[in-house]
Formats: sequence, structure tokens, C-alpha cells
Amino acid sequence: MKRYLSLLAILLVVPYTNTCSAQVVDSTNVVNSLTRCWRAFSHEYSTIYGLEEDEINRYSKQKVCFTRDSVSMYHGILFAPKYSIKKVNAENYAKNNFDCSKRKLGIVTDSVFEITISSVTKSPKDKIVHKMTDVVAFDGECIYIVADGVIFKLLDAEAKAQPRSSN
Amino acid sequence: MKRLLLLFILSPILLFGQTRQKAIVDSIRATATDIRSVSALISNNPGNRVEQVQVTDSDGFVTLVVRVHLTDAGVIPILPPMPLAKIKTGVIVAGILTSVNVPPLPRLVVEPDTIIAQPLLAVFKFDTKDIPVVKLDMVIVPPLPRLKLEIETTQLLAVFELDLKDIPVVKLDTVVVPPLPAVKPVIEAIPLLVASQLRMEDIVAGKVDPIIVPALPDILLMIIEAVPPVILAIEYLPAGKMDTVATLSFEENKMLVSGMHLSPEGYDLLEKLEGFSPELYSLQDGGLTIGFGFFIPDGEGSKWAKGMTWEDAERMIRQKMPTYEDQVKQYINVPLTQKEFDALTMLAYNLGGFSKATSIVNDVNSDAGFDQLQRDWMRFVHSKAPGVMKGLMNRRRDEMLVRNESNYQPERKIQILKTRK
Repeated sequence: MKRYLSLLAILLVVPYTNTCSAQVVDSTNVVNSLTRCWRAFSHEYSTIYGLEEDEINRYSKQKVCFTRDSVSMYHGILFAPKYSIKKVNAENYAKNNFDCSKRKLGIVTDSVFEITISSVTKSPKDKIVHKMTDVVAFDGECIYIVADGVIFKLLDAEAKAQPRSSN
Repeated sequence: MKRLLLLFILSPILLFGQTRQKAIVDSIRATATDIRSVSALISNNPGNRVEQVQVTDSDGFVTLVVRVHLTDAGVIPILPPMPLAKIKTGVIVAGILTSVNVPPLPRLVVEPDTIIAQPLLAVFKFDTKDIPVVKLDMVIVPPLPRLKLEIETTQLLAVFELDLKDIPVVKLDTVVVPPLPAVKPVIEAIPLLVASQLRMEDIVAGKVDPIIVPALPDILLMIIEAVPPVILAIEYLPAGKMDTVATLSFEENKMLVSGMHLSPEGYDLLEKLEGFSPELYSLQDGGLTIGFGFFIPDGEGSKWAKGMTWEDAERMIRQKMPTYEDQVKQYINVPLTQKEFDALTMLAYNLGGFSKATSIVNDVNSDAGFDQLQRDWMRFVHSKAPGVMKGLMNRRRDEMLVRNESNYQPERKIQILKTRK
């Protein structure tokens, strides 16, 4: 009887163990994939947005770079980034965040990684370190960065892609 | 004649190798004048074999023809087959080589054609075809002496540099914080120093034991009592003009966002800002709207074909609100006043969350200052739906009035967007 109980215990534990290890591998791969420079090649508007056209053009020319120690985003450089990664249904992600379909955002995969980046910055005035938060999505090839309600679709900055203007 | 006889006798010698044959013949010739010497030469070599004796009698002479097979057998012992390694050079002598047992030799060691033994007594010729090529399968290496690992702590022996790329990124699930040492509840001063008397040079690193902090005057309570008249004064400000907003001189209590909720005044204002519609209507934003601006995705409108009562809408907005309160709790990591929390929650309700408005979130978290926060806040006035830009501008201004002035009364009534027929 004891033998069957221990076997049952192993069978119960094994699936959870596998899931956890898969998640760790996924998270590591996602962060490794992010660690490079990106550049926007298209954009889309959310229902309410806050960027002017000239700002969108300026952002499109700017690189977004992830390194181990820093993240260079549109609004400045942040330090000591920590990534919270959640795998979400792509269609739901587009609908919940932008009231639109994933197709409109140009997402072709079924799921995307929603990555919340927690980082810190130093205020030049008072030297106080502030915690910052940014959200990006990653579909395995492109990242989607939302800046003031405008969704920028970014590719590897070194890859040659034909830029496309939205709308 | 004798010489002829001897030559005749020794003719079989020609069968031998020319070198040794010549030596033997020469020695016979040297002694050929004496028949006894020839006989001794033959008989001294016990290996010689008499093959034929022929006796002829003529002219008064008896001619004795002895056919002798000269052999080296007595002189050159035939060695049994031995491994080459065991043959000592002293044993090898000239003779007929019957067989040589050559052990398998590694390819690189074998001389191509000849093996020469020193001193040179014999030359053994090998056909390279006969030398087996042996495949070396295994080399046994004797155990190496163990390396002594001795690291002296006083001497730097090695510097290990870790490449950051090699360090795997692992999601940190749990951080165990060791128990912190208990803080002494009582702080005493020895001796009692006035702050102005402290000099930097007197301060040394280490455990600071006693400093008596005198009780602070209860200034905060007095200021809070003075709030109502200040708020009344603000009501005289021209409504909605952002440039004229004055920053109050007192500090409201800030709280951790985790325990905060939208205030009743916040609900009232939000209902005014959204307007109420008992029926579905379209803002051309990819769906339909009903009640207090509830977004209904395309295809789900049939659920609300009968419309929505005011009571249903009040109930529904309270059901939906925790989602947007949670957005504030998720993104904001600094304490907020109630009015700040209300303003942010109303903004999240309108934007659909903070994931697309991280500029405002980061302004709040980094205490970016009023000007920058207001600038970023007021940016969210663009919309793809036509004709609502002015409405968004008003809305942003109303949210900022709440945040900056606790003004939940923007002098407007709830707009009834649709009237049921």
C-alpha cells in the first residue's frame, strides 16, 4: 500500500515540476530575446491616445535597447530592470488593452508574453531613486510598446524591414 | 689433381650463400695441400654430412671421391622461434634464418625494410607485407599525479571573472529575508546634545546609542482643522481653468494604495463624466456603449437589447470599479491621498487601464512634479472616434481638478445620452 501511495505522490508532483521548469526556461528565453536594440516600424492607435504626430515620428526613429543592466525606452534610460512575464492570449490582450483585434496590431501568434518591467531611475535633482513601470508585449519576433496610448510595433534594429506607416 | 679433387668434393658448397661459401672455399684452398687438413676441416664440423663415397682405382692411385654436404648446423644453432623482443644481440649469429616471430608492431615504429641488430651479425630482411599492421585500440595512460589544490587565503592566486551572459536569468519567486534584529524601542541621549552642538568630527561610525528626540509639536492636527475654510475659498476659483489652479499649502494624509477605494464623491463625478444611457449607442470605437459608458464589444449587443435601468447601471459600475482600482494598485508604488487615488482611478476607467499610460504612472511614482504630470495627463485627449476630443479635454481637466483641488463638483449634471422611446 505504501508503495502505491509513494507512486501516487510522485505522479502528482511530476506535472507541477515540469510546468515550473518550462516556465523558467520560457522566462529566460524571453528575457534573452529582448536583450538587444529594437526600432519601431509601424504603429497603431488605441481608443484614446496622447501622442502628437511629430512625437510619433520622433519615437519611430529612436532605438529601444534592452541590456542586462538598463532599458533605454522612449522616455529615458531606466536601470536594474526586473521582468515579470505572463503568457496571455493574444486576442484577449489586444481586446483588453486596446479594444481592438490582434490582427489590427499585426500579431499573428495565438499568445504573447505580457512583460511588465520594473526598474528604477535616479532623479537628477534630489538623487532619490524612483521605481518605474513599463509594459511591453512580445510575440517571439516583434515587441509592442505602448507609449501614451500609441502602440509601436518594433523589430530587431539590425534587421532590414520595410517601414510601414499606420493608417 | 688434389686440387681438382677438392674442388670436386666441395662443389656442393656452391649451393650456399655466396659470402659464406667464398669464405669456406678460401679456407679449404688455404689448406688444400694437406689431405689431413681437408679431412679435419670436414670432420671438425659435426654438422657436415657425407652423402656419397666413390672409390676408383686407376694408374696406381686410389681416388676417393667423398661427396660431403657442408652445413652450418653444428656451428649455427637453429634458434627456436622467439619473439623479437627476447632475442639478445649476443645470441644472434650468422646462419640460416628459419623463422622469426615478429610481434605486432605499431606502424610508426617499424623500419620499412630492414632490422639491423648491433653488432652486425646478421641482416634480416623483411618484406613489409609480412609485418602486420596493428591497429592500436587502447593506450593505457598511467595515473597522473594528483594536482595539489592549495589555496592560501593570504595570497591572491586567481581571479575568476564571470561573464554576465553566462549567468542564467531565473525568475525569482521567493526571497527569504532573515529576521531583522530588533530595534531598541527606547532611545536615550548620553550626553544630551543639542543638534546645533553636534560636529561632524564627533560622529564616528558605529552603533549610535542614545539620542533623545524632544516631542514634536502637534502641528499637523492644527492644520487639518483649518482645511474647511480653504476648500470654501477654492470654490470661488473660475471653474476649469487649469492655469489658475493654486496648490494648497497643507499636506493631506497619504495612504498605501493597497487599501484604497474610489470615494463616493468619485463615483458621483464619474457617473457625471460618463453620462448615462439606458440604451445601446455607438461611439464608432469598435463596439457599443450603454449605462455609464460601459463598453459592449460587437456581437454582444443582443444581451442588452432591452436596455439598462439606472439601478442596474449603478450596480454595474460598482462591480466594474475594482478592476480599475486594481490597476492603480498594480502600477502605483507610492502612497496617495484619496483625491489622487480617485483621479487616477477615473483616468484608468476611461483609458481602460494603465498599461498604455505608463508616462502618467511613472510621473506619479517618481514624484515628477505638478507641471510634468499635468502635461502628460492632458495629453490623453486624442481619439479616433470623431467629435469627442473636446469631451476628452474636459474630462482630463475635471480629473485634474479632483487631484489638485479635491473638486468633485465641476458644475455639470449627469447627461442623459439617450432617452428610451
